[in-house]
Amino acid sequence: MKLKRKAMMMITFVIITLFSNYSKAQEIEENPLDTLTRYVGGIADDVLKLKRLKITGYLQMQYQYCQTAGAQSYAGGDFTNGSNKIFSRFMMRRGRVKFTYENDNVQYVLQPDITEKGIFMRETYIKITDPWYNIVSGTAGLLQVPFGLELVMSSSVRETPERARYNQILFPVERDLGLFLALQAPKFSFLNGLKLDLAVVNGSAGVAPEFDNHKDFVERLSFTKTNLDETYSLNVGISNYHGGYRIGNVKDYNFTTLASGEKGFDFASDTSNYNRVAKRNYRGADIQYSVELPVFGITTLRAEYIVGEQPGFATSSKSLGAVPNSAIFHRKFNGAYFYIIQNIGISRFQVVAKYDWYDPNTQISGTAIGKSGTNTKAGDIRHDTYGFGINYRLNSHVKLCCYYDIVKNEKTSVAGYESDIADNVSTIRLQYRF
Amino acid sequence: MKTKIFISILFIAFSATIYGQKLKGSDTVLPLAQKEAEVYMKKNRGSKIIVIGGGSGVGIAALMDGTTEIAMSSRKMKMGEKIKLQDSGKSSKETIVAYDALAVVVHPSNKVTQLTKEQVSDIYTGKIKNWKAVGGEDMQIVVYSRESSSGTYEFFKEHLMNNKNYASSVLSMPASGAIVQSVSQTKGAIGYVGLAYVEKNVKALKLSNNKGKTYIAPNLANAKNRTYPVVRPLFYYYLATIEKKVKPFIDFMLSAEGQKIVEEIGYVPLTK
Repeated sequence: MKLKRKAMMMITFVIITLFSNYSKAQEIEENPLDTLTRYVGGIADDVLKLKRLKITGYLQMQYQYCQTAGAQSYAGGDFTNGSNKIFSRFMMRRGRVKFTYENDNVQYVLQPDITEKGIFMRETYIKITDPWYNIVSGTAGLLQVPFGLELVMSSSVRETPERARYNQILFPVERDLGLFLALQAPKFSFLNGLKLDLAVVNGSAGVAPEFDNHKDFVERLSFTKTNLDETYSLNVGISNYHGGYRIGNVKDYNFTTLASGEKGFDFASDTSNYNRVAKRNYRGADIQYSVELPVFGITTLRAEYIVGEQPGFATSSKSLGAVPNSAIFHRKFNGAYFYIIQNIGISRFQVVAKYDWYDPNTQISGTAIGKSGTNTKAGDIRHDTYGFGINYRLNSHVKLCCYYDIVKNEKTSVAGYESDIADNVSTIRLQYRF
Repeated sequence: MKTKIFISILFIAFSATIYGQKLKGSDTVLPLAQKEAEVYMKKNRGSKIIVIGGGSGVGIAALMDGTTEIAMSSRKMKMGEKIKLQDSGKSSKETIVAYDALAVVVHPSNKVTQLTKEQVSDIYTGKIKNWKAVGGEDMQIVVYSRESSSGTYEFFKEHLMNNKNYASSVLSMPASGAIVQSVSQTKGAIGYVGLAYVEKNVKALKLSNNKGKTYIAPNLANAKNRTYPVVRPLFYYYLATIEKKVKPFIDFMLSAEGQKIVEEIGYVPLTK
């Protein structure tokens, strides 16, 4: 038996050896150029596959100093850590890595944000673009809500450290889960420059899961035009947000003239009105104009105005990410921002000035806020923010930003807001983008 | 073994060229830049210049990425591109290196020899669909255009179509050479290419800028004296920081010798 196995192995070995030699004998010497072509062709195929995956990202490390320890702030978040009040901090504002895999007009995007606070998913979506004219694209997943200019602008390219206060309050993480549709007029059309964005989203303040089954609708129409000499560009847009959330079994209040003659919030309904929808309706208009001036460099003016109604708690009008656990107050608000950005000639420096306001309740102001019996509180106070800064762009990757925010609140009758709070913030930010 | 050595030598040679000067961008500028580079390298032993096409947009994007020293473009740098470039801490310089006359070409057998700008526009917008409407045979017009990413596409739309939209039936071609080939093979075809691409197998039409009072032939003389109505500048863009590195080649191109090559290739030299 053993002998038989050995014989079989020997025969197999001989056959393999013979076949191998025969193969060598049959091998034809290939033309070196053909070899190179084949070799390069193989590499090209591999490169093509690799090019489908794009990895981009940015990291923002910053130092901030606030006038008062523990101040509430929209310049990177409150100056608190639990119950500890702070006024000086290093923080990682963003640590983004974006993975985009694209093949045949279909994009898969995954973008986590990794900072000292943890790992958060900021964008995850599938985007399909029509392969014929690239006019229509549909996206499903978590991404930026198409409202206005500043909201969809990445902080890696924005000239100021933070978005306007109203954007942070109405759209806390700028994103939402849902379906998005974009229609862009093609180059060959006389409508070239026109873009329509439509979205249906949870309306649950970004990354929070749906909590009330109610869906919000967003529409934006924008138009971009550049002159033939490419010395100026103009972008105008209008946006609409139509949404709301079910308030569960909490009480809610409407703003009206009270029996006392004062303006204030009056009880609107009791819990028998369970689950009715508190409206979140916003309308906005925006404009951006960039012009290249000889010697001075490129100047950009950017402005946006928003008006609407927003339900919130007594002390905050921030959009909710969960079923409300205390009374809801219905408010009419407005807000705006203005930027002026000046590049210094052809240098690496850029200066920026910004003004924004957010008035969460336009029906009351000043010391009338906080008066006894009016039910008005901190959530009704207007804030005006003036910002000045300078950016230094070392190269396409590194940017240094020095910025100062002057925050002015309305002087009201609310305890702690009788005068302007010292909550100005200085920011020095180093950014690396790839 | 021999093969391996050969491949290694080729790779070393290829790597060496990477460290030379690179020009990337417009397909219209491509043949001109290639010839200029060829002559320049012969005159300046040791200098390496690589010229790659891809379109004006591709060249400008490469300038931003730092993957080319000079971006060739048949259109001006867009405002959005300028802002992006400045956001990268970079600033670019622009040099016009030559002019190009855009010729409207048809099949050589086509009886039509001239068109007004309005007629060209009507053909490309789909208003005129038969050659009979412009004095030709009773034959359907097959319209060829460049792809929308091309600088030539935009220039043609702005200057010959008064910014009207192209008809959806217009056939897009990836390069000027492809337009020439298609027009030469299709009896009822019409297309547009840079003067340098006009060959014997296609016929370049005379154009009228004054509603048919006079018709001007697309040739070098008429382009030079600016009587031909569709002449455009061709640009080189480079970063201000590497001006010293690219200046010798650009200076050569702007010199009398360089401008002579411009004319030889079929482009319009800069007038002094």
